[in-house]
Amino acid sequence: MAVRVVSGASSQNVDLAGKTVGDVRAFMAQALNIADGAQALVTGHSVGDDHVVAEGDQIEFVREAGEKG
Amino acid sequence: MNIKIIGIGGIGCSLLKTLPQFLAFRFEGSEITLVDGDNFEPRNRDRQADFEVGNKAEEMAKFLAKQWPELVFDAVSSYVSLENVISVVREGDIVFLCVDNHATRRLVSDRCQDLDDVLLISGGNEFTDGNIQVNWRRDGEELTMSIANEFHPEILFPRDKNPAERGCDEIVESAPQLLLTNNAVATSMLNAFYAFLEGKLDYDEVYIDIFPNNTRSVKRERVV
Repeated sequence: MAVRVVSGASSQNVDLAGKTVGDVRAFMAQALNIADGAQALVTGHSVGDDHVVAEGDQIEFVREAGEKG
Repeated sequence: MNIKIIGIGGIGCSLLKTLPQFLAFRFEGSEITLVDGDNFEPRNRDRQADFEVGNKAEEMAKFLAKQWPELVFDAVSSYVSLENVISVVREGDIVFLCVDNHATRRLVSDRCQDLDDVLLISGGNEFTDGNIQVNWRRDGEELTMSIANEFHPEILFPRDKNPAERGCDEIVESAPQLLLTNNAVATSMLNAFYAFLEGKLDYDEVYIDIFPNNTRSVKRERVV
């Protein structure tokens, strides 16, 4: 059952419905270059790592703003 | 049109390769003020303009004034600070914020919250990715989110310092940057500006990553 995981400009659909946000974070950290401690949003709202994701959810791990210029 | 370009580094220089040409033929007579307290150095030639000596804002303004007589160029040869932000960012301005620290982003964001009408387009990058944020205020209403918001605590509570606040003996290590990433961020900033002009600006933020060659625009919902 698919959820959409987003970080920065990248995203992937993965079969992780029923897992916690923490599980998703650990599973996708390398593929999407998710920073340690990145804020998690499910359908735009901030959630903790114990939140259970449902099919069709979009989970964003918010990427920090670029610092340099 | 009154435009402010704050920061004449990699992103600012990339922006200024295109923006004046666009404005000269559509908005003749626009006033563009460049703001930077830094000088051009030989080590920046791989990403920034190829001037030998002198303050970035002044040298770039002189160069562009010769190229684009249809426009009016001015320069502020100091960093934006608490002392001058009110005179630099004014009612009705369109501000392209191209700086390299979050403390200045916070400072300019706060100034924009005091204004009824302003468009702030802020860009920043790491080596191969970056983002832009857009704060559009019209008639005192916030149409897109301020850039110092709960989704970006690194800007809301910056850990770095505004260059105007650094001591003379403070040495700040610069991380290496890639011209192509500066360019990609500048392009996205210009895209947001065009969307604004055409009445199609409806996002708060755009993420950019040059390796997968992706961008993603985001409209955020504020937690009330």
